Amino acid sequence: MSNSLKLSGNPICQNINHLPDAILHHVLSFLPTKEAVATSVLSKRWHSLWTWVRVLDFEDSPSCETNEKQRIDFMHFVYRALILNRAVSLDKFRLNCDIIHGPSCLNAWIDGAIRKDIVQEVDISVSATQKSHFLKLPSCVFTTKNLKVLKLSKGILIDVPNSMSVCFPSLKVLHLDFVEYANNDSVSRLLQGCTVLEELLVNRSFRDNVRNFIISVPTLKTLNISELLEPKNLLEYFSHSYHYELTINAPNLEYLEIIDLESLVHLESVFVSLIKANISFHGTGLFQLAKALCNAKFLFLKWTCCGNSRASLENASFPLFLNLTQLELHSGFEDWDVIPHFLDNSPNLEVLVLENPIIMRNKQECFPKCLSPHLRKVLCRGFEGCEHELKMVEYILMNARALELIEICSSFDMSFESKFALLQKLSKFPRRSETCQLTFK
Amino acid sequence: MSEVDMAVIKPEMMKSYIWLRTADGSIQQVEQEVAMFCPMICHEVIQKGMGSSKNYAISLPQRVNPAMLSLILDYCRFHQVPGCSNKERKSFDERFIRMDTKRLCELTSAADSLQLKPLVDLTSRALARIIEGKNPEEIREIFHLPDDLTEEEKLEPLKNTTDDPRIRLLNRLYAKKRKELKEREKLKNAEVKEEHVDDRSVDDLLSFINGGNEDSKGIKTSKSKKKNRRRKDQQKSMSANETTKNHNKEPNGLNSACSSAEVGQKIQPIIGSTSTLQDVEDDIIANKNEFDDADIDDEIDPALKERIDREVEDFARRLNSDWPERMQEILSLGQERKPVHFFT
Repeated sequence: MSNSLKLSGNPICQNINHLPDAILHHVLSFLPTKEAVATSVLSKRWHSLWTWVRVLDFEDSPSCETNEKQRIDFMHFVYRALILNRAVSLDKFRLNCDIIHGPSCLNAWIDGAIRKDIVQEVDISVSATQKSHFLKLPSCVFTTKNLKVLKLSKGILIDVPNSMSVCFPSLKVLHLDFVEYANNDSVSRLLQGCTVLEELLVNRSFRDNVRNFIISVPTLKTLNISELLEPKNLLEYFSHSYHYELTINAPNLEYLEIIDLESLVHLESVFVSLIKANISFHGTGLFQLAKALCNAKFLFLKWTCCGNSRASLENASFPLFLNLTQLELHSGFEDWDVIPHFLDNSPNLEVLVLENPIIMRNKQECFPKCLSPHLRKVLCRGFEGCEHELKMVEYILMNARALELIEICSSFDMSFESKFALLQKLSKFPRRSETCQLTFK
Repeated sequence: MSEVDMAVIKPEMMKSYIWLRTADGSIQQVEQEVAMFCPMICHEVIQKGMGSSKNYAISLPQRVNPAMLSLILDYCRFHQVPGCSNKERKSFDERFIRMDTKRLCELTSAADSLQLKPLVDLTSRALARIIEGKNPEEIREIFHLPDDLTEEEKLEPLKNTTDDPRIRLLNRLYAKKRKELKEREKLKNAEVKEEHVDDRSVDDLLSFINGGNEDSKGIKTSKSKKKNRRRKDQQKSMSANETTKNHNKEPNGLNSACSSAEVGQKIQPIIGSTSTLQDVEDDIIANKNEFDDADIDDEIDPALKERIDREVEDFARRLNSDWPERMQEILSLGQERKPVHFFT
């Protein structure tokens, strides 16, 4: 196998040429294929090294979109590299190009690469403008036996009709980055085929055609889903509100991140092993969410609430957050009395962060009934100094046994005088904890 | 025994050590958890029970000299500590890898012989970074590579590419595409659009096909289609005659072109196809190019070649793009080892 230990008596490889072929293939695998092929002119030894490299990484230049000669050159290059590659199977196939090459061409490349049995990762990214039709992938992509990581981005249309079989027996990581879907079912069918999926990342765009995005994957451990809005105008934005839904059923989830200001979020299973959840959403139903999230250790919640949240608060019972040690709440602009509920039910809370004006209208439910004995750090940002906020801070200072630091950042539009007055008030509050420090910004 | 005494005398030095011997004979002892980070050493200790004392020191592979060993152990010492964050590990790696190219190669080799994959990856990546973005001259200089390829070899990437019928087909398609592009550009640039009528005689064309005429650039598109159609028919029948002639002459062409035969079989022959003069000319040009290239198409039966060219043209026109379906078949051909069979 190793045919390069030429120097007699000195096996120490002081020169790259003395390294065995296998290592040189490995080195070349970290280069874009274009550069790897270019090494074929270096010397006799290097003439055909590139053909054994187990990675194919093709990226066309931006000018391919307009320059036909470059486009033809690129096509020729990709076909040639695909044909001449002698590796029995590939570790990685990456294709990053413009849709201008045409769907048949792109699919021929993808097909050609996937037939080689890719064992690690496939990463396909197709740039397409708004006007072009997105690329529909060949069906061989959906039945890769050994693939562990699949990343699809941009100008790709995921169309999984009933007749197509989807089978990813080894797929652990799936990234869907601003791709388009043919319909709701395409999503479900795609995910159904991922029987061992552990990590799912979805970045959705405004026009991906899915009204009800359902993620139902029992093996999932990490989920990141975001929806970046690009409505063309406000009217479009408002007309879409509440017409979209996001449903998550993944009981073994450990890390959850949802940034979706568009859809109604439904968390259908209780996440028993949840470690960290970061949720920015829009809409009612905080209590339902809370039930699913009750095992979390770290929780970050940010929402804009529109409509009648009070009803849901009163009817449901707030779950116990036994494992919660760090809680961060960013409110929207409506009233919410959720803080007392959280504080009441988080006996192990250590760090509390509150952001944006806390407008609490319902005085009776203002105060928590008990406070975690472990609470040591509290941060309030966007503090305006209104009566309820002050009462809350007073309560915390009076009851937090182990408090070490309370930091209050006032909101920007406060005058210096009012800030000073506020500081004076705050420093007068009695503190239960002797080691408690008050910081004001 | 003396080790046991030592252990009793200095209880705080309860760490266990592994003894390692490099190829030059020098022996050193290393903390166990550090050494065990290397799979090769780990294997020796666990499977063979070596390394527990000076006499049973583990012999390290030849590619590991003391200098490299010390570097590798530094690497292991840092990475075997479980508490480090990814960020810390990354910055350590970045600092660690800063060394001259020679040492980098030595380190890669040493890490490979100890099967320490993370370090092999790190060093390989560093070597790749050195290669990336440089032209061949620079790379040869850095690594002291001999410039031992002939000019010809440099231009033609692989020796046996030209034997591969897929590559030949690909080259043909590519040449055709480039030709089209050039001609389109010529048309754009042409100030006066003359009517270039191809009025070569049949004999001229015959000799052209046979490789007599070196000039392949003089052909321009003709505007009078009627004339062309007549010519085209003439050429077609003529080329058909040609192929039957050649067919009889070279019965062996079939044998060596078996994979090409498969290619031919996959295509549905279309009778009475209406190629434009441009297409037929391109066929000729393509054939001409093939003749020009040394020894390339000796193995493909010319009849088959003609057929392939015609089918390619048809396909291309119908799909309005030149490569895809054909290439998909071609790419799939490479993967499947079909049994050889001939067309009837």
